[in-house]
Amino acid sequence: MRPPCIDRRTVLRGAGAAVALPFLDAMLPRGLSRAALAAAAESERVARVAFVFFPNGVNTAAWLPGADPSGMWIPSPTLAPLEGLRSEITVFTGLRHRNAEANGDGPGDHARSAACFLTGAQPRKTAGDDIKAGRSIDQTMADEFQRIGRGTRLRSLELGSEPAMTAGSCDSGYSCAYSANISWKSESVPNGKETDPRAAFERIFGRTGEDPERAAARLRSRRSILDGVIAEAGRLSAAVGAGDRMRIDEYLEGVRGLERRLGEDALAELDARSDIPDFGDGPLDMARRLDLLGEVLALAFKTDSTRVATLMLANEGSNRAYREIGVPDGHHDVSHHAGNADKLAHFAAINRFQSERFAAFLRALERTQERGRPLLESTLVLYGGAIADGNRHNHDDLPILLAGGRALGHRGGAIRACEKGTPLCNLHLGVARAAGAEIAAFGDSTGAITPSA
Amino acid sequence: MPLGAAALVGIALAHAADVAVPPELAPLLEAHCVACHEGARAKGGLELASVLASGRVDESVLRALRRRLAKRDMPPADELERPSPGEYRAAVAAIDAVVAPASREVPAVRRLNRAQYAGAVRDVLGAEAGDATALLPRDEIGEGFDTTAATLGLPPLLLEKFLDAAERIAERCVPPESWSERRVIQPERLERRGQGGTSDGIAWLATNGSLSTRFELPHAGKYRVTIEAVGQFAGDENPRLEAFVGRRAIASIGVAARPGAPQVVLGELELSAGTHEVAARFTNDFWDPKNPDPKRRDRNLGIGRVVLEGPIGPTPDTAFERRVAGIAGEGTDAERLRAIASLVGEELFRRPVAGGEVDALLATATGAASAACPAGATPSFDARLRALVTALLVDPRFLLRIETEAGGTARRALPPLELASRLSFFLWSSGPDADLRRLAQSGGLGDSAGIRAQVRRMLADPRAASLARRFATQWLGIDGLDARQLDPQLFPGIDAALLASMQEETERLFLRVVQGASPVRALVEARTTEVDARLAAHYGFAGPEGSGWTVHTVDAARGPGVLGHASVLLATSNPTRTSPVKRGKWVLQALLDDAPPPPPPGVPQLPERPEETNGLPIRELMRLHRENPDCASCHVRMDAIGLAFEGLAADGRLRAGFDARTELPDGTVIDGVVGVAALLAKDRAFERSLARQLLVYALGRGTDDADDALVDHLAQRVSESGEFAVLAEEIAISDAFRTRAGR
Repeated sequence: MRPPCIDRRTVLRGAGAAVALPFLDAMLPRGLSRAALAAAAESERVARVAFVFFPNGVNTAAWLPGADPSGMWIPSPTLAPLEGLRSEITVFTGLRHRNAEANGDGPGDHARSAACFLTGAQPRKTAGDDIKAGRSIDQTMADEFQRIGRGTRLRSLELGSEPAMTAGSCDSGYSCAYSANISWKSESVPNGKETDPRAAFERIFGRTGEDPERAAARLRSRRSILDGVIAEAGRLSAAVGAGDRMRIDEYLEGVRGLERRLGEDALAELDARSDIPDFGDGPLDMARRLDLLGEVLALAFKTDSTRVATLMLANEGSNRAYREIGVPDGHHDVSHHAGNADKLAHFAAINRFQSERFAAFLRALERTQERGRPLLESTLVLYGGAIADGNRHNHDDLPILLAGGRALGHRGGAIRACEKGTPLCNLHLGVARAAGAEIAAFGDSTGAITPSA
Repeated sequence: MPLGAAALVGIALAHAADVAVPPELAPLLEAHCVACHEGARAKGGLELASVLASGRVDESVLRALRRRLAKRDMPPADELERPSPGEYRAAVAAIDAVVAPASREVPAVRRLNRAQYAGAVRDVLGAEAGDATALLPRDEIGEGFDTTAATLGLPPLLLEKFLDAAERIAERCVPPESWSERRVIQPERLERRGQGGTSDGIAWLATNGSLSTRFELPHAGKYRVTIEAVGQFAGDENPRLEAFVGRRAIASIGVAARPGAPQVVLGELELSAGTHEVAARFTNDFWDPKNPDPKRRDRNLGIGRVVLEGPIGPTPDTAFERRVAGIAGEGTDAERLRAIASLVGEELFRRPVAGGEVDALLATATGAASAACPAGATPSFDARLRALVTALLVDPRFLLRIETEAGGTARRALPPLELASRLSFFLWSSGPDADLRRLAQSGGLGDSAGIRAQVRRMLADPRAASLARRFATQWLGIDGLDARQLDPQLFPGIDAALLASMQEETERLFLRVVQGASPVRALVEARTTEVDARLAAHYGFAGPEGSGWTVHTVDAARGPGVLGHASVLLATSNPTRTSPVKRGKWVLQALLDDAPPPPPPGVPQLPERPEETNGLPIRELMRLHRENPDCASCHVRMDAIGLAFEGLAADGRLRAGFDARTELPDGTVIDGVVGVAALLAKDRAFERSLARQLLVYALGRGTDDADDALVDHLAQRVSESGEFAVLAEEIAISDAFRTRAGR
């Protein structure tokens, strides 16, 4: 008689069984998880960066804040939801993404806006056979963190409210991939994004509701599975021509990344069950979905599961109707307001809704404590898009905010008027450096805008 | 896609090699082109006078000219003197003789898309594997389709999803003994029939009605249903709760419990795999507003959480387990696993798996199963089988389609098994079945006749429904229709279920065409359509009862074929109104493969809401639109076609009082949607559009100049025969499909 294996036992609990936390100390090699994290935290300044993107530009009149005599910005209608966080937020003006402009490629400002936002690159105008933008700043930072030994459970985390699009060409001959992604792993591979908050949570903390012992057994067997496929992918890679190796190399990189995570803490650990967000069981509305994604992101930062993340409030060019706030028409349709008062009001209402989501995310970072300090202190959050006026599709004087990061030297409250035409990549570079990624230049940067200045 | 002026300039500045102007081309340029393309004000920045004078031309300019001449859209249609079809053909041939037409080849390594992954999982692992598309993110689209190899990337997030999906699918196909799930539905998530609200964790029924939820069960077995119930009391009875699972009553009780201390209603029962509804019904509502005691006036039923647990006890064998029991035969565990790995591996990898490969797979599976066991314990057969399935589903030989490349530079026929894979992913969105693999290995795909016969067989198979579900929906722009939103105030009652029915109506018509029950032309000419009860009510047909689909003749005012399908009409509308521009663009792009270029930035859009139009009808607004020269060049055609659909509302219903008579720039009158159908009947442009887009879907890449001749050939063959099968056959035997370019 063989001794029973783990899956032979009955895992059904009584009706009173609670949703179990998937984590058990026994699952981890002892001494690696919390102690290692604490030691690492002492020896370095932990910094996190999140990039939050919104599409379709803004109603510029409703966006632009004023300033009081002391130089503090005064909330505009769009930025009113951020009033209580004003001292944490700098408003930037004058920043530009010249590579989101046509530069001879004709229409397609929406596709270019998302593709350029974090890459600074001019995307190739193609319907799909040879997409190409550039490697994005979050990925550049993730690589740098890994290189200097600050790698985390997840290299980076990509989140958004809307999945990839179902229409063929999303914008004027540009592949939809450009409009649905801001994070680019390499110049030809967008990262995709997680749109389901529960799935995002389970990537980091394990399946909610899974029996802990079964979860532990599953993770132990992953290593063997991954070892097997890594060996096989290696053989395949050697067998095909160099030009065809790209997908196999992507595959290898992905599975090696998964395997690396098994060696350390495979899953993150929460202090209390009450930290698990209430995901519910049914469909989520936009606000709830985005706020939950923000909460999961805060938990990912708190548990040092990642240090760089991106969040797309919606896909670029999104034409979603915001009926929940009284906007029956599509977002993109109202962004082309042509001065129509109703459309302007609806457009501003959507922009304000987005500010509310951003405020909720910042509050989650403020609420979430890490070693007794609010996460917001050690997290820089860049918020904005690469279209300024939704009606005109211009890519200069972009709507950009920078929030949080006190411990990294950022002081909010003021409007920073950059010289007109200053590359947004200068700010990306400054943010990356403030977070400890020593990058010489990025995109079309001509220098770095230091958050502490 | 027409090349914009800016692109022409861009290419001209690229300084590619100069070549001699082909002598046969010069007279045509002289006669038809130079008048506009001359000197500093040459149209579109294309200067041809100097080209003719020097006799030299930049290669990229020649390619751009070829594209225009092949499409025959230059000189403009309103020019009096245009080249004859023969002259166009000769000019293109002359250019091809000087500069090889641009060609593309699909990458040798591409990953399965989500639909192909799910198809293979379903075909190899059986029903319990479930719909794997729910476990994976939607693919990015390139060239209009999610089969385009270049856009099917493999970022880390996706690999993680593949690993997670593999584990979940393996657990469903080889469930651990006493495998069980516990699912909790919170009261605010219950579906309500009857009045009431939710407060403090209780969903109240204030009138007779029900609260219900649905569970999707991967496995048959014994399940435990728990419902938390409380009451509010009046009259001389407790509120009555009748609990049902499907049509089976599991409890009928008077609820005595009060909020804060719910009573638990329990039922244990055998359930089949599939969807089951759990419902709590309230049947004895009581309301006596005159009762002197306010607490005795109203009787209500409250429901807390609904919990489903199971299967309880041993899980019955899944279809996959029964099947592998047959494969494995008798013998030791190791021998049985070897037989399974060998066959299931072959099915998933789409080629035989060598002995050494089987050894490695078994070692992986045993290692993975052992790792899950406590130290010293031996993993069970089931645990090893489950690990084997997990390993197979994340294996690069499954997830990646790899085609071996020719050593030389010449094109070369694909090895038979690789051709078999191309065929099955094209026609089935899944891997090849045993028949196809056997035929490939015995040389049966070596000639056109063998390939044609397979195409016929495969189109008759139910798996060919993927052509309707994956190709037609993307081609016609109705994929994911159930996520579309119309304004519920203006269009009440349009929910996800009705939208899904609309999409299915179109898929059914396309499937008839795929299976040869209707000719290809039926797509734009059919006077009958299939509807279910929801759709029939929506269209105002006397429809079927129950859940079936019946054939119905459509009203004369509604367009024939997909032109009158609610799916298409809704997908080409805005949330609040019809969009003649989108509908016109849709006809040009999907049906005529002649998409207009996008509007320049800063162009004002039409008003969205009826009240914003200052009393002008949409037709009048669009006329103003067309008077703007920036818009006119494209909108004259697009708008004329789109306005012909004005008799059909945004939700696809017929509406009266809208003038659907319009005129094309050349004076052709289009009288409603029927007129659009007549326009499509004029020539082969519709067949050419279908042919080219199906070719893109089949090949996994966009088409280029070098494919023009093939597309023309396909259009001709399908026009002559009217059969979809002929089109599919001709694609399958084409060089583009069954050979690969050399390096």
